[in-house]
Order: sequence, then C-alpha cells, then structure tokens
Amino acid sequence: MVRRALLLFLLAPLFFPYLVLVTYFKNFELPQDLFSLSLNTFCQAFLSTAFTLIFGFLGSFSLVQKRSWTLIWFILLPSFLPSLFFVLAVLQMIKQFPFGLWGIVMVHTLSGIGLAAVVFATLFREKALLIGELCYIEGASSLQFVFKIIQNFKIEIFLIFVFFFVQYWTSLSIPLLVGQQFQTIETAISKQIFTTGKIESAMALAFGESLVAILLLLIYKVPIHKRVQALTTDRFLRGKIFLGILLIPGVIYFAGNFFALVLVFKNKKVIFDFEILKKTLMSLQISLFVGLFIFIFSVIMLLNFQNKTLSKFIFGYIPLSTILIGLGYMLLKINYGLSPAFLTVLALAGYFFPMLYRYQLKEKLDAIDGQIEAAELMGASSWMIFSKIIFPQLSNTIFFLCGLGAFWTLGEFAITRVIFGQEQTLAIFIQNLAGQYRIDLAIFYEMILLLCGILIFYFFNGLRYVLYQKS
Amino acid sequence: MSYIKNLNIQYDDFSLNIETLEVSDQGITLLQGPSGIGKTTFLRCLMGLEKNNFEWEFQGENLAALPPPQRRLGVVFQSVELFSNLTVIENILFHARARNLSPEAYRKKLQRWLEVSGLEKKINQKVQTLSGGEKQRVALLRALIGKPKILLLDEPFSALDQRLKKELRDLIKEIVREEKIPCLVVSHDENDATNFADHVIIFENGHARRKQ
Repeated sequence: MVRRALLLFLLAPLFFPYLVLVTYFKNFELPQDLFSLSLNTFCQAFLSTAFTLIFGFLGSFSLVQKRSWTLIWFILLPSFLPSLFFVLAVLQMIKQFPFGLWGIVMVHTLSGIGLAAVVFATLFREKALLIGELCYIEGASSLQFVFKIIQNFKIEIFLIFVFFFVQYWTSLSIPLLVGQQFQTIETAISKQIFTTGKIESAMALAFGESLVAILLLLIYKVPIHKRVQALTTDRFLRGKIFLGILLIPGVIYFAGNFFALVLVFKNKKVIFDFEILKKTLMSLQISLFVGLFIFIFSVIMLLNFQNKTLSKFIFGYIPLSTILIGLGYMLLKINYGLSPAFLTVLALAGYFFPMLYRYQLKEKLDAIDGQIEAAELMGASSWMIFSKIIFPQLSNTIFFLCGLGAFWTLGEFAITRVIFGQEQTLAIFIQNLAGQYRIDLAIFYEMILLLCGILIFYFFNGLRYVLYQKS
Repeated sequence: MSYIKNLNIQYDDFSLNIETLEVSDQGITLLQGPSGIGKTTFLRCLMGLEKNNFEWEFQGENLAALPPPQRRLGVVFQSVELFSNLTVIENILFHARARNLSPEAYRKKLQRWLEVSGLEKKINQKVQTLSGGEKQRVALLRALIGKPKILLLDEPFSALDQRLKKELRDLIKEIVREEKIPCLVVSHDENDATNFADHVIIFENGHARRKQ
C-alpha cells in the first residue's frame, strides 16, 4: 500500500503537465510548416549524430588503452555540462560562429564526441577482439581494420547512433541558443506558445516529436546479442593523433571561460548586487531540492525493484517537449496558486530522473539482478532485499546522480523560465545576457553557477559519506 | 524418490521434454550432459525462475505449485551471487534471517561448518576479498543455513582448480551426508560421476534419464 502511494508520488510529476494540458486544450491542430520543421529537426539530429559518431569513433582508438581518470573526466566534461555553459564557451571562442543548422550541428558534435568516444572505447575494450590479432597476422592495413570493426559491430554502432539521435532530436537548449532562424520542432513549440499562442498546435508537434523518440528508444532497448570472443590487442587501436580530436571540446570550454574572465576583469564591468545574490540563492535552492527529489525518486524506484513494467516505463520515458512541461506547471501555478519554486523543483526532478535512470541507475540495478534473485529464493522480504542488498550497493550511484541532477538544474533555463515567467534564477539571467551577445559577462556569472554546482555535488557526496559512516 | 513430470521447454532451436523423471531424495545427484543441453534451465525451472507448468512431487508435496521462496531450496549459482557489500558471516546469516530462524537453530552447526570449510578466520572479511574457492564455500554455507529441503548447485566447481575442486567436493559430501539433504549438482566433469555423485541423470537429445 505504502509502496503504491510512493509510486504515485514518482509518477505524478511525469504525468501532471500533460493531464493539465489535455484538460485545457482539447483540439490538436497540426501546423502548416510541419514537413519543413520535421525535415529541419531530422537534418540537425542526423548530421549531429553522424559527426559525433565519426569523430567519437576515431577518437575512441586513443582511449582503448587505459587512460587516467583526469583525462577521461576532461574528455567527458562537455557532454555532462549543462548546454548553456558549453554554448557560452563556444560562442566566446569562435567569433565567426555559423548560427543556424551548422551551428547546432557543431555544438552538438563538440559536446557529444567525448561521450561517444568513451562508449566506443568501452565497447572495443570489452568485446574487442580477435579481429585485431587476425588483421595484424594477415597483414591488413589500418583502413581495412577499421572496416572490419564497423562490419563486426554494426548492431552496436546502430544502437549508439539511435541513442545520440534521440538526444539530438529532442534537444532544445542548443537550437534555441544557436539556431536563430533555423527552426526545429522544439524551438517551434516554444514559438507557438510564446509568440503565436497556438498551444494546441504546439501540443500536436510535441506528441509527434515524442512518438518518434519513443519508437526509436524501443529499438534501442533491443539487447545486444552479438558477442565476439575477447582477445584484446592494441596493435591497430593505438592512435595518439586521435586524442587531439577528443581534447578540442574541453580546451574550447576552458579557454573560452578563461578569455571571457580576463576580458571581464580587464573591463571591470562585473555587477554582483543583491539581485544577483537573490537569483543565485534561488538557483541553489531549486538545485538542492531537485537533488533531494531525485534521491526520493531513486529510492522509490529501487523499492519497486520487482516491478519490471515500471522499470521499462521509466527507461523509455521521453518527456513531451521541455517547453510543454513548463507550460503544464505554469497552468498549475496560475490556477492553484502553487509556489513556482516548488513546481520548478517537481518539473525538473521529473524531467531529469528518467535520464539519470537510463544513464546509470538501471544498469547498476541490472548488475545485481542475480543477487536479488538469490535473496528472493532465500525467502527474504522485499524490504530486506532493498535495505540490505540494493540500497547499500547502489547508494554511491544514487548520490552521484543526485549531484549530477542538481548540477544540471543549475544550468537549466527553459522550463524554469516558463514556470517563473520572470528572470528569477541565475541561468535565466545568463541566457538573457547571451541573447544580448554579452558572452564574457554571461560566462562570469556561469562561473558562479559552476561553483554552486561543485558545492552541491560535494554536498551530496558528503551525505553519502555520513550515511556510510552511520551504517 | 521425487518425481518431475511434464517439464517441457521450447525455445527457437532448443527443446527439453521430460515426461517423468525419478530423482533420488537422498544423497548427491549429478546432472550431466553437453553444454547447451538445458541442465541449467532445468535447474532454474526447479527454482521457479523460469515459467513452466510442470509437477515436482517431493515427499508428498508438489513443490512446483509453490512460489519460489516457499519451495525452501538452498541454491548455489554458477556465478555464486554473494552480496558484495556484506561480510562472510553477514552473507551466510542472510539466509537464516530471511527464514526467521533463531540463532539457537543454527549456532552449533554453523560453528562446525565454518571450521570444516576453513572460513572460521575470515568471517568478518568482505566477500570481495575472498578467493574463488572461498566464495564458493561461503555460497554453500549460505545455502545450507536456511535449512533447505533440497540443495541445488549449478556448476559449483567450474571456476576452481583441481585442488580446490577436491576440497569443495569433500566439503559438500560431508555436509550433505551429515544433514541428509538431497543435492542436485550440475557438472561437466566426468570424474564427478565416479568420485562424487551417488546418482547420475544424463541429459541428451532433449531428454533426461537416470543412469543405471
């Protein structure tokens, strides 16, 4: 009974906005430019994915050998930073930035290649391969070896393609920041709501967009059957030249930030008044509570470890457009007078949790499936299994994900802006500065958010430590 | 004797059909056969981890009709599946606690088993620090402490060298005989049939039969 009530608490934020929207707007209406919007979205997602995978694939050759954690962290950083943070650095570094389709593709690619390379490298390390040895013995060239790899891993490569495609297909922040006149479905939804007020049309677009993403995620869930005998060799997979490709995004991020800060301090144009402090505190507060809610959602999820349908649902859950979520919560604020900060926390926790579940929690839970099975056979109650086996083994992951979710929250501006309707958080303020091309100043304030993010990340790690000590 | 009836498994290119199989309810019964013939799947059906409408008559009770935890089986998986966050003793006692057994019910036996298995000095170690053979012994004691009706061991010796294999075989034999718990063991090793088992069931061509 308690578990079901908790389940409702987890599912409510995922369904709330749509229930509210469907109540208010019943007549879906397809926009006239549906075809061009779909084509634009497809083009940017396809090109972004293709470039991400090509560079990630080449870069992965330099990661097959064990690399230091600092290097991996540096390579992965752009993939895990809030989009806003990374876009600012790119805009700071590339003065003649190609806004529009190629701008979106460029930022997507730069932010994704690190993750793609690590995914490929893990795949090659874990399952690669006799192929390397065979190619070497048979005197194959590096190019022949690469083709052999593609041939042998085509299913895995396709699944990685789907993973990135879905991410880019539903991307909002980057098209919004660098797309300008180039409209994707997500930015069109935003326009329909804020400029033309055609909410039914926005909803129709959102449903169509999500349907594609969900169908693709269904493919993504197909298990990888193809397993190749492992016999590692780095004869062909050694490639320091490719490491440079992977370092570019990180270098752009740090160099962009550095140059912006130099400019800001040189021109002494920084303002840190009470208003900024208020926005910072609001950002911190929302971020902290999102982290706590992610903790609660994770615990509810793990308490329901036997519920495979729930696991499948959360794994495959794709929110129906970021802006629409915000709109649903905004209607709740207007009609029921609920606190916008609370609604933002709920909206963002519900938005980030399925991503975090897909990213790590499910995998970690699946890894101890055998232990759970053994405990069930011994007659252990589900509470005993949760408290003695699951939670102690997954608490590290949970607190890490809380920190990550809280960190993402600090850089989120789309949902927050819709719910608040005003410039209440630092991320919204930064986005406004970016819109006015005051990039260096925006980066300065981003540094404050980054500092807050590090603090919150360590706060959640501290909680884990305290819990660990007590147990 | 216990009887397994109407156990039929059909996958794409795999089938196992058992009309009636007599399994001794005493001593060690070895399940033998080539890889991929369905020994582990058979064991998983007995555990209730694979859905199947079969009957398993054991001491006047149809175990297959019971939910898996109520079948009171002691299980050692091929992958051992120890709880990696717990110590040796916590792992072993987990089963006793799950079955709500009072410490008096197992204290003496546990002491002796720990001595026989050589784990006495390692009880407070995390299981991750143990060797493969030690892990197998912890898994065995964990399976035994819950007072199981039957012990099911899925390839318990597969990852062990000859010396460890012999030690574990001797330990199982000793405890199983002492406790009088019937034990079903999946093994590939031909030597197990002569040195270890009291009975043998052969799996071949999608069927299972007792070796006379």
